[in-house]
Amino acid sequence: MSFELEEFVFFDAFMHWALVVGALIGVALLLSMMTAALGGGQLGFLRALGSLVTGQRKGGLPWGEVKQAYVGVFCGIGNALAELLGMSPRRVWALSMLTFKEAMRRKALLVFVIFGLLFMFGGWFLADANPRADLQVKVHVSFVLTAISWLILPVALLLSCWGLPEDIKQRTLHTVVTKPVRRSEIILGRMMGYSCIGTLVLTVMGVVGFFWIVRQVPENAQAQLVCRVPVYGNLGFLNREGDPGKGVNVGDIWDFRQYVEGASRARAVWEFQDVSPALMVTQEVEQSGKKVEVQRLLMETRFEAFRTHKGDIKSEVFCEMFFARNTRKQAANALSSCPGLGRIGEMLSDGDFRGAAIVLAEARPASSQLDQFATGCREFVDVVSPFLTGDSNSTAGVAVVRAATECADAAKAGNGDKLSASLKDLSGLLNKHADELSRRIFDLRVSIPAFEVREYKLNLLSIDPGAFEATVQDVETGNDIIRKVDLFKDIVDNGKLRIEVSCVDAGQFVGAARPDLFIRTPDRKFWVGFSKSILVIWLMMELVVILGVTAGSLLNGPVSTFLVLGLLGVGTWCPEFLRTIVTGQSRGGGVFESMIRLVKHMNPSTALDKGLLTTIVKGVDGAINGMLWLAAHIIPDFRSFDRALSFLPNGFDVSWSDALQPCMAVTLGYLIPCLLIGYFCLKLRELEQK
Amino acid sequence: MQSEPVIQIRNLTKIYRDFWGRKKVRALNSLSLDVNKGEVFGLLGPNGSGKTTTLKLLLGLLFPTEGTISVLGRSASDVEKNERIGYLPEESYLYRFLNAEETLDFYGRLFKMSGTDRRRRSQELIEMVGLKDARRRQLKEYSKGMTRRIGLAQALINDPDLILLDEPTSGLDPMGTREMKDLILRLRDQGKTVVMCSHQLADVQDVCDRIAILHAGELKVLGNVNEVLKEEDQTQMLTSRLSDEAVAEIEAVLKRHNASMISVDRPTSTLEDLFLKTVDESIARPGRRFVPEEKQTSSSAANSEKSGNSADS
Repeated sequence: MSFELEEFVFFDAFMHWALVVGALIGVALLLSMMTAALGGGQLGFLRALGSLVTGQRKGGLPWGEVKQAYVGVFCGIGNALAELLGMSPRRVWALSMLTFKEAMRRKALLVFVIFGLLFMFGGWFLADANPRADLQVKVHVSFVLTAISWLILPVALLLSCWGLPEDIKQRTLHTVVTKPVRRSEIILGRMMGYSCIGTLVLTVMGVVGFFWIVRQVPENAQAQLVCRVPVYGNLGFLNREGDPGKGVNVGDIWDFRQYVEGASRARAVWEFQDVSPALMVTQEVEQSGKKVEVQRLLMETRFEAFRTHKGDIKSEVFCEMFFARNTRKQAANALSSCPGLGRIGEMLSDGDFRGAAIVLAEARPASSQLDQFATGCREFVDVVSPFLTGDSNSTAGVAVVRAATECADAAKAGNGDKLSASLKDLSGLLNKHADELSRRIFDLRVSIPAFEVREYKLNLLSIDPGAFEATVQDVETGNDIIRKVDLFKDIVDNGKLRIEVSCVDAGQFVGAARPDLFIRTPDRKFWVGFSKSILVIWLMMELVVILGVTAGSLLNGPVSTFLVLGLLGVGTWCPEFLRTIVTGQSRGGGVFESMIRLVKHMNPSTALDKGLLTTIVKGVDGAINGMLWLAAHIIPDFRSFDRALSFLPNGFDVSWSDALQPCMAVTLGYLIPCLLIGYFCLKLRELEQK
Repeated sequence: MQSEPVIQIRNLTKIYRDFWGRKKVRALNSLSLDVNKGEVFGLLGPNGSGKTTTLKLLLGLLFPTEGTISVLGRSASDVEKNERIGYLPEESYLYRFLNAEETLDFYGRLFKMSGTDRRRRSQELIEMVGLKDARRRQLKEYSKGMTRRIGLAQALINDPDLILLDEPTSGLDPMGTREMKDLILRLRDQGKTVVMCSHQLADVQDVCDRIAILHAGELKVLGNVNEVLKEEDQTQMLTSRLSDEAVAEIEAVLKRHNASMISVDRPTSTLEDLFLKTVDESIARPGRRFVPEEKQTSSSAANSEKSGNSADS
């Protein structure tokens, strides 16, 4: 899967939604109050404004009328809220069932005929379309999901956009509204009715589609009908000197991947959170001629290679993967973050505890720096404690941890003198026990054998967590010994796992993006992912229904259809473009600035001359951009659905946090505002207007 | 004794405007009238006189340009009032894909009636309007008369206190018309209030207690049917037990004219005559309007100057 995953944060999304809805309500309130003041033939608002501007207050300001109009607006809002809260579920259900029957009798189910034809003959063109098993699955799953989406959406669009306008045109709605039916119940009933028919159609299509895939996918690709459940890490890079930095750009315009140079200290570094043995999968392996079940950590990679020379054409580029726990480096980073102790970082990283002791002894923390000392020392204690206390049974280690803790406490208490004294103690202990400390606090790195970067293929690494060995110094004697390393006990640090990937071949590059390496947890059944994909389509259909019914409450059928189609198109293909315009990131400025540039034949990158005109133009453009910002955010982001629907064809389970949540948020985010808009459109509309 | 008003209309004006807000037509002009509880009230007028507009304003389907409306003590825009209202539109605007039972069941649900009540009431109404044999047929297969009947049934599903009927006998055969009129009278006997618009003047004369005649959006005549139909310039006498002298005197007079005395009264004309006369006068002398004396408001009082005492005209 080659797309960047975007983390969905519910709180941020909610705040953004509240901001947009709040702005919309503000604009609507302002417009309605102005309209109310202008209404009634009194022109109260304009008269009041005119009187204020001219200062002619004699003759009486029509504030009474304006006030009355404003009171009317607020009473209307109050009534609307009361009506919305007083909706009757029984009436809504009655209207839903009416809508359902109406859709059924309008022969909405004819869509099954097209669906049936597609599936009867679709298999002819898809069978053996690709030799790769995963791509065969992708083709079939994509076909089914696309077919269902493209059949259900037009049905939902046409039914929802034409339902209410037809009801108004035929005047059947007029009989309904002479009953004690709230306008909000009509809107919600319509939405629910179309949802019911859509759900029925979608369920049938989903079940048929599922069995069609299972039967149609060739035998050799059946094993690929699973939903992989990836756990992604965060990606960072080390440059060729081994310092944190960026990867190399090999000339791609799309900087999705960054590249690490071969035979250098450059690394792509993934840091995974919450890693535990629970992520392992059970596999069957043959041991002594018997099949036994073992637990393995599965890692899947999909790196890309960039060759600067041909090399061995029969061989792929090789890369190496390290599992690292940089205890010494973390301890060094913690202490070096204290003011004046910067030099200590490199010394500790190299195991020079005596040199570090000298730097500590010379430290003179100023009173303003005590907080930073407190943080740094506390972090140091947290990092080294597991290796110096507890089971380690080290007197020296316990003393060092105690001294460092005293430093942190003194710094936190704001006692500079005591901190200086504690730092000296710590320095003495580091100096005295330097050899033991360097044997106990060390960076542990284990690796798996170098492997080929097989581009465009699925590469699975099955890692036995207990099969690693590393050369370390014996704590007592200081001699090098080979020690067994357990991935979870020795490498994983509080659930954090650091994996470094380097390129082995000199002059070649390995490209990596965040989704290129992930831990593959136990797969889910195919039907689970398929059901979730159908749920995504259902959410998309719901959004279309919500928009269609809302549009239909104000506009006639054809105009509603085109409006929702337009929203669908812009929301699918143009949201990024709109965002660059409204955030002012597009070159050449806003509307008026662009016009001036056009007239004057000015380059977009050339700044406008400073002056009053430029100030005015930029001010007006800013205001227009504000309105455009609101308009851009009214358009639903349909990309969330496209993104969610691309999981299953690529063999992944549809992620709850990365796919389902954003889709649900988009749909739910439109439900309440659209219900309100639909309610007011129907409420303020004279149904019998000639 | 003054009856309790179910509908109160004061200075009601409705102006239809086009998309740009320009005035298109003034459908109603300062209409003021009351409809009392338990009476059958007829709204008459030629096409375009504002009868249906008045009904739609009462139902909240249109918003008044000026004036106020109170229906069952509530504003016309208040949906709560619809709990006690039944409305039969001019055309039966019903869902043609439903059958009679489904139609009544749907409208019953809108009143939050229980399933048992809905079924019972549906059966009663279907039998009452004579659609028992066609209750499972979709409405699109119904004739116009049958559609009117099911329309009436849906208007009565909630056993309303106020029934608004727009052209109730339109499309009905003579038997259906008779049944409809009987039903209206039965409803009145049950204490319901009925407001009906109609062109069928004989029907209105048969069932209405009071009538209002509208022309060009203005109220021209308002009153009790019997009163407004009285011929003020004629005398008809029916008497008894006069003294012999008086009788001899009158008979002598009549004898001179070769006649005999039967009764003393003022004869009534037909509603059709009154209607045509009213419309002719309205065309000949536009602007004259009936203003109810007791309900006069400040603005209507201003208008009364030009309308004069048109009630007796």
